[in-house]
Amino acid sequence: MKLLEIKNLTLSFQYPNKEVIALDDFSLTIAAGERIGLVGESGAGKSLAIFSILKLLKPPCKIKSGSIRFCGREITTMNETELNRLRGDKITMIFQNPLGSLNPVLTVGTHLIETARAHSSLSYKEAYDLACSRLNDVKITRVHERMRAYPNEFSGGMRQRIVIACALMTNPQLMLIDEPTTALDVTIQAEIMELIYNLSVEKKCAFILVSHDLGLVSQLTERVLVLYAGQIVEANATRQIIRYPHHPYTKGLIECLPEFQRTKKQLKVIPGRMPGLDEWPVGCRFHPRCDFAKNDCKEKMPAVTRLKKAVSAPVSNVKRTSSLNTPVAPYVKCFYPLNEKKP
Amino acid sequence: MKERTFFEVARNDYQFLITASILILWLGGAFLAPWLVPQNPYDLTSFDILDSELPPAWIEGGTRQFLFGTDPQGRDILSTVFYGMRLSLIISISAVMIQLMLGTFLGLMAGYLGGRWDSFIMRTADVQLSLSTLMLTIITLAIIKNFFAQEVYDRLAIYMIIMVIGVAEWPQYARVVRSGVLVEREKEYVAAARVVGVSPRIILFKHIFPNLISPLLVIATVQVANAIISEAALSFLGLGMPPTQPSLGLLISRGFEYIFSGAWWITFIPSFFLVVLIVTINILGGWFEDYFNPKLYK
Repeated sequence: MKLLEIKNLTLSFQYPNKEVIALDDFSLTIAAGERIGLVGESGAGKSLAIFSILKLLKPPCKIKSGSIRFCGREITTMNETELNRLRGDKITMIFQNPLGSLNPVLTVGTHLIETARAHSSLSYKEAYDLACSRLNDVKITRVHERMRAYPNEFSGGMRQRIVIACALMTNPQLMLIDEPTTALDVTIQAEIMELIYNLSVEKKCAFILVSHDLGLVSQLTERVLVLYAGQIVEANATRQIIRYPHHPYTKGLIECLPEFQRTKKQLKVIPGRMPGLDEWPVGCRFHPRCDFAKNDCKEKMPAVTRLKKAVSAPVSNVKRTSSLNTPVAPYVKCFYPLNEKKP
Repeated sequence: MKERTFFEVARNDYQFLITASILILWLGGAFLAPWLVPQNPYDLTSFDILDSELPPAWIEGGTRQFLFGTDPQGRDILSTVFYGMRLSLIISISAVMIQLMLGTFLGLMAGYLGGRWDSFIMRTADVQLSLSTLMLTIITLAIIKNFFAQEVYDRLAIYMIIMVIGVAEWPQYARVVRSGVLVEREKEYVAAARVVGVSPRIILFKHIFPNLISPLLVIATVQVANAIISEAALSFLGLGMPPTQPSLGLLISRGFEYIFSGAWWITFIPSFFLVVLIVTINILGGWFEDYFNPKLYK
């Protein structure tokens, strides 16, 4: 069953004298329990895409067209009351910065209990017990003491655990995770990501992980969407995308990662920077930075090319537990996809 | 690191200890006046005109019975001062409560509703701030006073003064609260609360408002002192409390007429109590400001 279906979503910033498109024709489908990665550079529109799922966009950013359906219900036309019922109950979100996403004047217990009671008729005692068990789930000890503590008494990693516990209070079906570990150091990052992954398997909760780190995403997800300048340039199963990137941009991203390089040469970089929202080039948006660009890349926007279902190639460093069929056929938005013949 | 509690910080701070103990002495004296002081200055039978204008006890001619001397009616100044201070404090604290409630509510609404409501509330505040508080209260009280018969007004005076001072100062709070709401609502924890489906009203009162309490407490402390001054000024001008229930301001104003006849203590003693009261409140207000502001607190 389709849990979330986003079709042709276009987001734009509407200024008095002009309109800037921030996310262009974005489509995404996620099945229950599926883990998806959304990868791209800063400013590609990753965060906007997941903010729009909960309709948390701030003006001047608006949904221009397209539809977002969650369990068959249209989100774009929902009013605030309906949205509040959905937010935190079926869909929750984990923010980038755990230092900022907990209110400094409320105790940890208040945060957790409030979330639970906003969506159910639990008594205070029941909510308290549930909160304690969720804190156990995220491997926090001495829960009764911690419930009374304020966020400033915790370290960054611990706070992110609390945020995760908070997100799981209501048994959500979908978690939107916005670069959950950028504010944390690398050792904590591994712990937190493993925790998120295990909880998502355990609670059968799907997630969309937004990150600029393809390496991180490849460890945890079944499918990856690569976003460049407001467009999905490539979508494929994680192991396929890592092994056989079809879009030159994806290839570039992978070549930037030390963990995928077998030789100890200097790492490659993608030259230039991503164009800003109002300076997207004509033609393929990646062509100024692309090594393979030809003349038609500069003139026309490439259409979406369906890829053949790739044969499964086991990749050792991709963690796999289930073998979900990718519900959407893999595709790439490029005139001259790479690796087309290899699989 | 666990933060030090309020008492741990306060116990080692001499400035705090001294001002707080003076203030407690003053407040205790004021609120326990009916049980502490020798005379009830509101009771005409308890004093004698023959005792009038006696100097304080430590000056020649003074008696032990009247520690700070007596006024022209023969009332014990110690008693009138404490009774007067009680009135002044009741008036100023009640007025500050009204200011707090009104200002906080309007400020929260302005910050939360935004748009037209914000403009309306804040422009009203600007207009009101452009007129001085004292001018506003004098005009209002003068008008009110003309509406009522003297006895009726004397009975209602205390409520009128509380209302007028209370309403006159709300923009101070509204401004702070509104700007606080605007800052806090952009913070990530508000987005996080929205994400878990907390309703906007609960976000405003339960998540944003507690973050604004410390600046409000600081303003409120200083405003108590300001309200005492306003009340004293109004009474001094004859727009405040009736002469049968003198507040500190009225005592100072009455005693002022005798200052050149040598009976300086009639105006000096209440002035001294007033000044000490206001200075201690202001120092404490500043202390609270430092305490709540982690950047300033050592």
